[in-house]
This record gives sequence, C-alpha cells and structure tokens, in this order.
Amino acid sequence: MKFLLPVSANVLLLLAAFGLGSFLRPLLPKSFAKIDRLSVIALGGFGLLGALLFLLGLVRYTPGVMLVLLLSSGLLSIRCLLQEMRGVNFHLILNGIPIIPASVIAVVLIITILGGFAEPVGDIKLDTISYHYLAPRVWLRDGAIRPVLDESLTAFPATPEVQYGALMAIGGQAAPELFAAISLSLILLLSAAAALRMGLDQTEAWWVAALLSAMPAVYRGLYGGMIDGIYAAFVLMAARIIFDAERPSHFALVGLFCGFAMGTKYTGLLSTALLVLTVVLFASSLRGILSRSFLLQFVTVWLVAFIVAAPWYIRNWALLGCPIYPPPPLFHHFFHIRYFPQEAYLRLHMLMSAAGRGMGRGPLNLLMLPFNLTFHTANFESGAGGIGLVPLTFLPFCFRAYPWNRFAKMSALFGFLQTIFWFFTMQESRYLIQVYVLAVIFGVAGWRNVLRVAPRFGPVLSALAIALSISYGLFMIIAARVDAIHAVVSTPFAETRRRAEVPFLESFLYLNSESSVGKVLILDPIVPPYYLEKSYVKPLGKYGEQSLPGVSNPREALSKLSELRITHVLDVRSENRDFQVVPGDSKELVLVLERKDQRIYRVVLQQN
Amino acid sequence: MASLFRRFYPILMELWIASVIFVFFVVRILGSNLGQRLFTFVRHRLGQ
Repeated sequence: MKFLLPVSANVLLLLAAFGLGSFLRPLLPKSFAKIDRLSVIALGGFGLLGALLFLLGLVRYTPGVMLVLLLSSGLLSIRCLLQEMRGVNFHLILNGIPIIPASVIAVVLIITILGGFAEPVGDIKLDTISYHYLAPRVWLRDGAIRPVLDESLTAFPATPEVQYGALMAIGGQAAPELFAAISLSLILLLSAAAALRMGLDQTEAWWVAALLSAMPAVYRGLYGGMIDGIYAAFVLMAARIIFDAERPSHFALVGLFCGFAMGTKYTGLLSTALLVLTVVLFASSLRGILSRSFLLQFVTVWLVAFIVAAPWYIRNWALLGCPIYPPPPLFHHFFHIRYFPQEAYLRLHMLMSAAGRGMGRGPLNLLMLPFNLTFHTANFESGAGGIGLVPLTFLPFCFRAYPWNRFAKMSALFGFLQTIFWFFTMQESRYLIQVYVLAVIFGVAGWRNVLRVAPRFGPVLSALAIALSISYGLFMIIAARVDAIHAVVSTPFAETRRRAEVPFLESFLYLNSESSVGKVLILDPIVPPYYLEKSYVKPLGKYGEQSLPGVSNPREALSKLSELRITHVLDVRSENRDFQVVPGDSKELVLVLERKDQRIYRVVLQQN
Repeated sequence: MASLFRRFYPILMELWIASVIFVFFVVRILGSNLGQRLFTFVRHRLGQ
C-alpha cells in the first residue's frame, strides 16, 4: 500500500488532466505537432483541474467530490488519448531514441519516483511543510478551501496545491511528493516540443530534455511540493502558443495558460504583461499595434486570463481584505488588510527582499550574471543549485548560425525581459526556470554550431563540457534526494529521519493518537501544524499573522480557552521563546505530557 | 577583417569552451570541500 496508493492517485490525476485537457483540443492551432498537442492537453488539463477543484473546494473539498471529478474526467481521457495516439509510429519513435540523453532522463526520473514515496519531513522554515502541504491538509480536514489564517503564504494562488489535496485524500501524505515525476515529465515534454519548434532536430530535442533534467536549479523547483516547475511550464506554454497565434481561439488558449500561471503565482501577472510586451515589440508598425484586430487579441488574452485567475484574487479580497495577500507595501492605503498587522507584513516584505537579493543588483552584477549563475549558486540565500555549463559554454555561439526565425527571436526577447525583471525583483534561482529552458535550447543550438565550425577540438571539448555539466548536476540532485530514497528502502532509517527532522514529534504523536483531543491551541509560532491531524488554533503565525481578532499574544489566547472550545494546549520552548505556561499556574490546565522542550496540557473546564 | 575573424573564430570557440571547463575545475572541484581535502592530502604526501 505504501507504493500502490500514491501511484494510483497520481495516475488518476494524470488521466483526469488528459480528460479535462481534451476540451482544449478545438482551440489548438492546426500547425501543432503531436508532441505540442500532448503537452498542451496535459498541462492545460492540470490547469483546468486546479481551477475546477478550487471552485468546487470553496463549497466542498472532500474526498468524495474529488473522486467524482477525477473519475469522470479520467473516463474522458480514454477517448482523447486513443484519438491523439492514432497514427503515432511507436516503433519509429523507440528506434530513434538516443541512448545517452535518454539514460540521463531515466536516471533523474527513477530518482524522483523513488524519492517520491518518502514521507515529507522538515521544520517550519521549509516552504513544503510551512504552506505548500499545510494548506491542502487543513482544507481537507475542514472540508472547504479557506486561507489558513496563521500562515499568510497559504493565501497565495494555489492551482497545484489544490491538486496536492486530491492526491493526499486518495494516496496518502506521500502522494504529492510523487507528483514531482509528473511535473518533471511535463516540463521535459514541453521543452522538447519548444526545441523542435525552434529548429532543432529530434536528437537535439532529447539533449535539451536531458540537460534540463540534470539541472539542479530546475529540479529544485519540481520536488517537495515546489510549484516553480509547473508555473514555468504554464508561462512557457503561453509563450509557445502566442508566438505562433493567428486566430482568436489561439489567443483564448494563451489567456487560459496565462490565467493558470496567475492562479499559481502572483508573478504570473507580470509574466503575462512581459509576454504581451514581447509581441508588441515585434509588431510591424505602430498602426498595426493600434489596429482593431491587434487590440482584440490582447483583450482576449487578458480577459480570459482574468476570468480563469479571478476566483483566487476575489477570494482573498473577500476574506482577507486584499486580492494580493500577503499584501505588498503601500497596499494598506487602498485595502483594509485583515489578520496581518501592518508592521508584520512590512517585515515579511523586507525578509523576502533580503532573500531575493541573490547576486546583487548593480550593472556589474548584471554583466556577471551568466558567470555567477553557473559557478556561484551558493550566493542564493536558499542555494537552489546551479544551471550547468551548457548556457555559458554554448550560448555565445548560437547567434551566428542559428536559424533565427520569428519564433526564436521572440523567445529570446521574452527570455531576456524575464531575466531583467527577475534580476531587479526576486533573485531566487528556481524562479527563472522558464529562462533556463530557453537558455538550454539556444545552448544546444550553439553546440551544433561548434561541431560544425570547429571540427578539430570542438567535439572533444564540447563532449567534456556536457559530460561535466550532466555529472555535476546529477551529483547535486542525487545528494539532495539520497535521504528520501534511503528512507523509502529502509524503515529504520525512515524512523531515524522522522525523529531527527520532525520538530516536537512526541507531542504530535500524542495529540494524533489520543481520542480525547478535539481542538489544540498552539502557542508558539514556530510549531509546524502540518504534522497535526486534529483541528487547531494558532493565534500567532511565524511572520506575525494574528489569526484571532483581538488576540496579539499567547496569554490572551489562553484566556479564551472555553470560547474557542480548546481541549488541549501545546506549549514548547524554542530558540526565541520560553514556555508560556507554568505548570500548576492555572487550574484549567492539567499537564498530560512533558518531553524535552515540549508540554501538552489538557483543558479542564471550570464549572461556574 | 571579416576573413581574419572567420579564420580565428574556431580557435576562439575552442579557447572559450576550454576556459569554461578550466574555471569549472578551479571553482567547483578544487574550490569544494573535496578539492580542499585532496589538496591537503597531496601537500601532506609531498611534505613526507
């Protein structure tokens, strides 16, 4: 069951995505090849599934609703897949697979699948535990999608996370970890399709996929509940379609993918703007830009995108007081922000700005960016890993001999604009995945040029650079996943890992197993409620969120125990705070468990 | 000028690739913990 349930849940989700994606087929451009069609259907299906699950989840987010939606959509996929596979010569495809790049992809996929069966562990500093997996877990317990007030980051648009909830409901806690294999396959499929469109041949497209799969920065955005890979895929797909779009239906499809990107990350709003700017810059004349048909195309893109993403932003506005939450600075002038004091969210913004300083923001830093991204990835605060040697080694050589069709030129400009935007806003390596995909495609084109122009030492040096790039990338990826894989194959190690990496484990084990536990009051902001299977109240969040109106410290929360229907109180000692409750101080609280740095009290209601 | 560039372009290409590989070795391999340990080991052996 450890393997069967997560696999079944992910297969069902994939089939459901194909089923829902089949509704997009009439919108697809006729010029699209099979590989393009497959990637649009699958990726679009995931976007639609996320949007539908969210809308349904606002009313009812239960395993029953999810199963009905997934099974009915899954049934639709059979017809779609049979039709799409018609005429595909599998024998020819299998015979044409180049061994080395295919082996690299296989190794990374196997690592991802094996590591995907491991139970998620970590403390509250880990995004996975603090919000990516916390939100769906709480939504499932509450039976409806509502922002988790003690963790403001759960208010982010969450198209992938609503699907993690479905995976958790069907396949258990490890099922969303396995979703990384689907994310990886999707982004590789999409990248190979884009490479072919940009004029590379089939073998070169395989190399693009292999180099991307062995790129630690890309991989970091795919596993552990990270959504950067899926986000990058939505943005790239929108770019892939808009650069070839001719008919209104194509622009509607672009709008859908932009909407999915906006429904995954707030930066989707800016990526859509950059995409439109790229197309405007390539327009033949000012008169063309101001023409009715041109304007209609962009109204279509923005309108469809807003309709698709609006539910996330309207939900935030209605429940939290601001469509973008946590709110950016200055937003407090226009919106009445709830559950988050102004000084607290400004502090969060400062923390994010500090984390996003990355490689520095001066002109020299911009000039040195290709070098630093390749060699000094530790400069990123969270060390997202390198991008390999291919972009720096071969990108300079793609300019002379590359077949610079309009599509390739637009892709290059879009990549450049994205990089500039990233450089001056939030320099986190995994936020630039969409640009890395384009850089690798152009890098492989440069490699082809090297082989043609410098036949003497070019092939040997290129092979050495690529071998080093892939082996170093694989080494980094394996090093990052080795503990998860070890935990899957060894139960004693899984237990050791759990004890080492889950903070306050004894308390969670007690609270989850004790039948008298109804609702828990968590006093310290650093306790990760992801591990708690029971209902809880956490008055203070780690960034200073205040989930209970009028409660600004643990003492005030303790005075409202009966009002909040609390049955147990979890009190811990952390680096910054001592215990909040002194045993025996209150007749309402009876100490029932004491371990190192953790105490649990049972609430005894006083009869008045 | 153009013909001179065409003549030296392949050599420039090879030099560029070789220099990226060289910097990779210096920064990522020799500059890493493993590289430092290897360096200490070699120095220790040479000292003996």
